[in-house]
Amino acid sequence: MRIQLDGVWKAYGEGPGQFWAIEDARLEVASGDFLAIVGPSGSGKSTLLHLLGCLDAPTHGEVLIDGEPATRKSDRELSLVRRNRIGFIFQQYYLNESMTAWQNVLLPLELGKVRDRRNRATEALGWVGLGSRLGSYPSELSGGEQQRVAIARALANSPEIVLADEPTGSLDSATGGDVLAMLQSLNAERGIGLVIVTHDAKVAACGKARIQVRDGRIT
Amino acid sequence: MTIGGIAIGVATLFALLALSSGIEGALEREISGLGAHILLLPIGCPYTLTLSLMQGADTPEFIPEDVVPHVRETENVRTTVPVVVGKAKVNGELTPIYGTTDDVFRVKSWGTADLTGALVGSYAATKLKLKPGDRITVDLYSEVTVPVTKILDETQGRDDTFVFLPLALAQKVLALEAKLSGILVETENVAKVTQTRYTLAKIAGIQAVPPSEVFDTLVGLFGSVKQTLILITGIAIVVGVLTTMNTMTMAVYERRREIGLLRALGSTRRDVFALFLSESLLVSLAGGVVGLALGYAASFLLPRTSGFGIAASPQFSLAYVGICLLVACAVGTLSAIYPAMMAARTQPIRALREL
Amino acid sequence: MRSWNGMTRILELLISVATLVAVGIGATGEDAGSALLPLAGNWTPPAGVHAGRPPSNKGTVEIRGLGTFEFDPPQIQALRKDLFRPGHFSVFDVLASLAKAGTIPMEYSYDESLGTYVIESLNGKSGWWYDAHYAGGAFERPVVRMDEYPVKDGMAIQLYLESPDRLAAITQDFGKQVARLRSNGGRVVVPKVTVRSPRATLTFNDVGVTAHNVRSDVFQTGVISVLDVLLSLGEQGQLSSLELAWRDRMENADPVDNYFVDQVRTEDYSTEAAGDCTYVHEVGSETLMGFLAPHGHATSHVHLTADVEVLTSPEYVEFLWACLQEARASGENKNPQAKD
Repeated sequence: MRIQLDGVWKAYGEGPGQFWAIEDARLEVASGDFLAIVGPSGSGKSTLLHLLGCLDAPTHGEVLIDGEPATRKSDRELSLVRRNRIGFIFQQYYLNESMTAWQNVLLPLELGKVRDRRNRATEALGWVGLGSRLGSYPSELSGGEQQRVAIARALANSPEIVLADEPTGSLDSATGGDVLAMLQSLNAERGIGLVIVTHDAKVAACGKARIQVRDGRIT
Repeated sequence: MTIGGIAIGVATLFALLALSSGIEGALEREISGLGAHILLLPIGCPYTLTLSLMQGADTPEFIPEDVVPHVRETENVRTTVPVVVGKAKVNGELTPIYGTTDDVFRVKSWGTADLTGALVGSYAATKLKLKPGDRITVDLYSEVTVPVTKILDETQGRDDTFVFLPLALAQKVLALEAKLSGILVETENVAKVTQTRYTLAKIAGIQAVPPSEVFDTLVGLFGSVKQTLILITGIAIVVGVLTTMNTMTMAVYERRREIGLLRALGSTRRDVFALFLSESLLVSLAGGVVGLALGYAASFLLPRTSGFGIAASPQFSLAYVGICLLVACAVGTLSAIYPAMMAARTQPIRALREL
Repeated sequence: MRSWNGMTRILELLISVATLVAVGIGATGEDAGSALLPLAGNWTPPAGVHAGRPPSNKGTVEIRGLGTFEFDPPQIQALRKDLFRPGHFSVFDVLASLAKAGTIPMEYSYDESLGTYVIESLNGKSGWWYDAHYAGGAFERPVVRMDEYPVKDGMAIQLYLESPDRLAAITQDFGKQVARLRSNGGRVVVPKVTVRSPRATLTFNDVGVTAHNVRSDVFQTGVISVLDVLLSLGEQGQLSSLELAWRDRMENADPVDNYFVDQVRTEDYSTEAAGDCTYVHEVGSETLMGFLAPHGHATSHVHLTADVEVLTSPEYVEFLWACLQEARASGENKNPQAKD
């Protein structure tokens, strides 16, 4: 799978208050890549990630998925891409508080009515080391454990590319290190493409490639 | 809260349906219980006169008894039943009495043909503690003593409340010698009822009324009351719709993070729409069930009489249950459409970002 | 419960209006003149112009279970000399004179708490009430004190045993009226007066009513009638005008000799004048509602016009604009349609 940003501009707001978050971004990510996007906060790096994942649409320019413009795809097609081919990990985890860890991981599988989904959910949690916490609610898990559930959820549908926005941002350095290691092995052993947005230079150092973003421009 | 809004609308609808069919059923039973194709009444308002006849109440006007031979002679008249009614003290208790002749057996299905003594309706018999063979005193303007020849079987109609006496005796008690409260007429050929009615109307001192017309008018009067009730129900349902829409919109807003997440994970817009719509459908069904229970209870608490002196119990039927549940679902679904659409349109990343 | 009885009331009013049909209001009525009030600032029709003919012909009264009895007006004196002028008397006075002559076995007395004469026993029984109507009318079970119902030639009077419930309600109502009068220090104050037409309703609360002696030919000075309610409202500045029409006789009714209220107007309220429309009235209370006597009248009657119905102190007085289509077929009294 290959996702490209081709001359992408993104603006928020209208009229005099309009603010360009991204200006003329050109970027490419493919399965197997490990890209770190660094920059100070407010530089637009998260926006880049959202654009890559088709969570947001560009104001100008094109996002291409395997060479095809995302704008030409229907909502259904894009949803399927998000569901089956891309995995998301967010800084704030965004777990459903009223569901157990296992139910959270099952969620994307349910959407696609994937065969054998219950086992796959259990497996995914086992892979992130939480096989014994299937029935726990997010409120009963530590920050690191919650992020690991989020990772399991992102992996549940065997995505080709995982987009992670400050995955270690809410964790202490030890836990953060564990999560990072996990993500690295995903990339190395399973060939999953990885884009990590971070402001932490140490995290950035782990990536195979690195781009810097400042004031909406890739430098 | 949504359940509450829907429940109230459904409750009102259910109670209305049950009560109105109960009252219409009661009216119909009353009128057909008279047993006549044509009712001859004194001059005056036919509706209240008919009701007086049915209830045994005193009327201000009477038919002179000497019209009876003229009625009997009229073409197409098969049976002529002269009647006097009034309330008299039977063994000291005020009871409606009904004086008539043997002709009455041809229009009622009492399974007996003996009017030498008193025939007592089942309810009256229980109230007065009577059995065949007892002697009763009937007293108002004069007093007579009569043996009870039979207690009639329950008919679920007015007849159960009456004590039936030979005409002359009743007339004596009610001081209505040579007068009648009404005459029941049964025709040979029912198809010619209207013609016969006009012929009879020409006899001086009476008016001829088909009981069904009275029924229609009474139902018509009731109908305008029903319209008010329908209006109230309509309002209740509108309130239900608005409450649901409001609650759902709030819910969509409160759950926007969840929606954003779902979309990020790959839910299509249609999935989100379907999710909210099906949730609201379930809530509506729940509201419907609660409403049915409330409506059931309410229809017993609401007034039972229609002011025409007719008591009616609510009639429930599965059809009404079905209608009410359908209405509940329709209300729930319709009012959820807009909020569900809003939910589906949620932009994933914006929803997720908001805290 | 109220709304059902409201239906019955409407039914009853329609019936009362039927009486008017029988009496034949309309273009065929002979108007011996209308008075448009206020007249020279006064809310009273000119005095001495009209006078009702006192009863002079022999009449009959039917007492159920006893028989029909004849009476001769010149021989009858009113018991309520506080109400009636010489020459006029009430239904009760007819009975009293028959009792005095020994023709009927009746015992009676004056009940202070009810403000009226009551029959204690007649023919050895108690619980009597009466029905009456003038020429051209029909029986409708009025709730008017028997000793206040004026007798006219050609009148029908009937005495019968009333149902205990209804009689109790009537008695209670009379008692409440007297109590209300006393609690207002002898002044008549009507808690609620309404004037209704299909398009609008006027409501007046706590209306003080004083006598205007409109029918000083029948009543003594100071007697308050239902008509005084409207005249008092006029004096209090609540109405802009009133139209009263005197009718000697009508199509099948003679004598009539009454004032009819043809129009009531305020700044924002009026009704279109039409040949067969007039205001009918109803006097009543909550106690009396819900009686479906044949005709379940809770109230006094339309055919007792406002100018000769004595007012004690009721809970409400309602004037209703009623228009009639002639609906008389031979021998059949159809229910008239009240139209706008």
